[in-house]
Amino acid sequence: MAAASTTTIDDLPDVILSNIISTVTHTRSRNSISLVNRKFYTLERATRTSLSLRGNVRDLYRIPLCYRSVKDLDLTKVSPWGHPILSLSAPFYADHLAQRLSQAFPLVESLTIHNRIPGIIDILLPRWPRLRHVKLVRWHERPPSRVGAELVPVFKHCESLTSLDLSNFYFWPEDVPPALTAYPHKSANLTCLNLLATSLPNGFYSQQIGQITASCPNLNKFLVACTFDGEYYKAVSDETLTGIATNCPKLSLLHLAEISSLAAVRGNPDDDGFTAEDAMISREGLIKLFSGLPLLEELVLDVGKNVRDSGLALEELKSKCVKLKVLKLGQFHGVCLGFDGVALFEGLESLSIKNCGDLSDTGLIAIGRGCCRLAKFEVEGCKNITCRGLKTLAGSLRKTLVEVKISCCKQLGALTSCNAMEPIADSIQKLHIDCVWDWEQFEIGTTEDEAEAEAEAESSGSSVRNFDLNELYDEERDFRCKKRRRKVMIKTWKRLKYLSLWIEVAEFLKPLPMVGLQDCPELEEICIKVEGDTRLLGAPDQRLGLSSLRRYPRLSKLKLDLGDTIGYALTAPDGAVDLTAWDRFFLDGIGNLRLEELDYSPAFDRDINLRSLTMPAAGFIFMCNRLRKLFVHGTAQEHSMMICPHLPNVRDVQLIIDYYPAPDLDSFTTELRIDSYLRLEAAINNRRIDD
Amino acid sequence: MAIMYALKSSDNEIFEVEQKVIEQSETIKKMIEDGAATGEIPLQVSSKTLAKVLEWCKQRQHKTVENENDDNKGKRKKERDEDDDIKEWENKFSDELKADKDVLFDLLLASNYLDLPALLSFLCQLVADMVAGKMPEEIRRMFNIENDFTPEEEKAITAEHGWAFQP
Repeated sequence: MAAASTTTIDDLPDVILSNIISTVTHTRSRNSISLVNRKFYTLERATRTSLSLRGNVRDLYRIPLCYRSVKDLDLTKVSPWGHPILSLSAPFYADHLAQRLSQAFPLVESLTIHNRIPGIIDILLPRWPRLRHVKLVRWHERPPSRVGAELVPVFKHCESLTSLDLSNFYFWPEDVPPALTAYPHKSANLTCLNLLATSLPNGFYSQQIGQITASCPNLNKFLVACTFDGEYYKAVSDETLTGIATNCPKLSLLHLAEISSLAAVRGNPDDDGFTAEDAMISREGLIKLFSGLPLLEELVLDVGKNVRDSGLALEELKSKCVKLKVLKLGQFHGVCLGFDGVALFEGLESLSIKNCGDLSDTGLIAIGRGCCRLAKFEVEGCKNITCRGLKTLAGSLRKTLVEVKISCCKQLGALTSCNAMEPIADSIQKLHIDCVWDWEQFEIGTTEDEAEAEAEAESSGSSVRNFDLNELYDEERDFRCKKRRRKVMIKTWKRLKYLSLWIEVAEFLKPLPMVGLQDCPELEEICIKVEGDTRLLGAPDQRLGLSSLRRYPRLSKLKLDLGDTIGYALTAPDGAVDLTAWDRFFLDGIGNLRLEELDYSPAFDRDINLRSLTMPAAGFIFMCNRLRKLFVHGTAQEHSMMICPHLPNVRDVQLIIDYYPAPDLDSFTTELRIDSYLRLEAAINNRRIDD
Repeated sequence: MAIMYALKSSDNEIFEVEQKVIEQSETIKKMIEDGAATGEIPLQVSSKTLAKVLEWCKQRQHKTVENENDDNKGKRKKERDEDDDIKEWENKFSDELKADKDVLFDLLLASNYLDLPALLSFLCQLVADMVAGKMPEEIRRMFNIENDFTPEEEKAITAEHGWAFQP
């Protein structure tokens, strides 16, 4: 039989092989596949349909013609970041480049492009007659052009446009309605419109939403940042909701978010969840909206003001929109008081409840029983819920729940949150908690829970081990609970891959393993968001403690977001310290981690609109000698960045200025400018790279 | 009483199978509908591979039948337990295939020939997962592939990738 068993991969027909290759999405794996042999190369290139173009703007004329199957093209990652890809000062050359791009990518249907300088899209868009989806990106101030003029080229040149994404585009809400009404046929073809831009100076008014939905009757996805506050023609009210339902009955995704709630800042956990005023949205209005949208699969209503007694309306939602899978509610009260409201949605896969003033443990338990398919659950700003309710919910959803976010809940600090996740510790994949070290709360509230859990652990013989907390505290004698001898549940978080943390400025990470996150064998990525104002604090005397993350053996990606940390960037007044001192606090120990990817957002000086990589920060970051990829969301000085090429593995370094309003690089005399960036990039690319 | 069909492998072994199980294969379903399936159905598939194919079909069939028979009460819980069982079974199935690559490729060919889309996409995903994250040399070694590039060609392709590395 030896002769019969010699089928190899070469015997497979090309159809199957290209089927296999098209299943691989990871770019590095695809690059690797194309280097196997000639057949693989041909098949790989023929199935590569999505490309985020890299390389330098100045080399664009040399762009290879091998990626001819690309349908989905992203031009925003071309370096230097944010630099216009065509120069309008040389029209002939710009035209030539546009032609070259359309030759290299003849089939493009979906395009993502920076539109900082008006005129570039006028040259590029007509080159791709098949364009269906356009995403515009701009982080700089909107140029003072005529209202509406910004979007006209998109509608003018794209004959078969069906989808427009402006979520990362700095524009004015007034720009949208005139562009849509100027091209009524094309607006009517739109099926997807994303206006969920955090950058907007103010949200879309009710009146504008009315105009937009009236021009686009065929939308099935509509996302918009709006306002629920203000005078009658501005604020989204019952009338607006009814208008949306009548104008766009085919919607499968509706996302209405209060503009102010889009900022990622954590709320105040002491708030009771009720705002001073109520939104102009009633139960009847909601019911009308739900009745008009039977195809709804995903609904987000993040209202910045109270929507009271919503339970009954939500029951209506359940019976009217049977396909609903994803639901997010902000500032809705009465969503679930017992076995009612949202707890009746058995088909729901993702549920997010934010700032619900009266969500209690009973509600959580009901949700756990009722929404039995939940894979993702988020709760934010709910003061009344405790460990007990959440633990019961996790227990009932043990089979399905893999992603949980617990944020800004008064009674759920780090320790209690982790304790509440104990029933799903071996299956959860993504977790967000706030690093509020709540040792006292744990003492009071959980003796019973613990006894229960211990008994359970003994009977099931699971991998639960008990640790004496004091053993872990050898070095941290100054912590508040040092004298108490108590036992903490330690479980193995077998599948946890992603951990997200919120921490207040000047707090420490050291206790993190002690809240129960001791053993995470698969943890690959950690995202840390630090928030607070360093201007009010003196000099930090200790360190954040990044090196305590070293205990996670597979950790290779770190996102450190100091974007909402405020400080003095250049000089500080007497008694305060500037951000260089704080950067030492944050980054000390980062070199001890085996990081391959770092995504770093420097702290922010509001007064001079500066987010900059300081010298100490650069010094610490470049101690990570395994680093492959470094993204800095801010500016930097050339001499600090020039250390990059000396790191052995560095492949990709970008300065991404993706915040509003982005500074003009060339106006900064001491910071990295376009020319110096090119020198840096050349230095990196000149090294030999093995893969 | 279910209708049984006899399948004959390329090395003349006979497999007795229920109609419902084998109807998942579009090729055989067509043969049955056309009335071409009287007596033994000869297939260009070896007995070893055919056994694997049938193992897969039976597992799938098992699942659909049970779902039909379930009354609504307690269905949800049962479904969830079943999903777990199936996952476990699939894991075992794919581990066996990973160990024996000849069988894997034979099975790919057979699922293509018998027109079993579910099995085909499952296997494609399996091979894709095996390839993901590997270096070209590792892939070549794994599947016994010869490198037919000249060094110049390799260099040119690497240069092309300069335009397409991971963001």
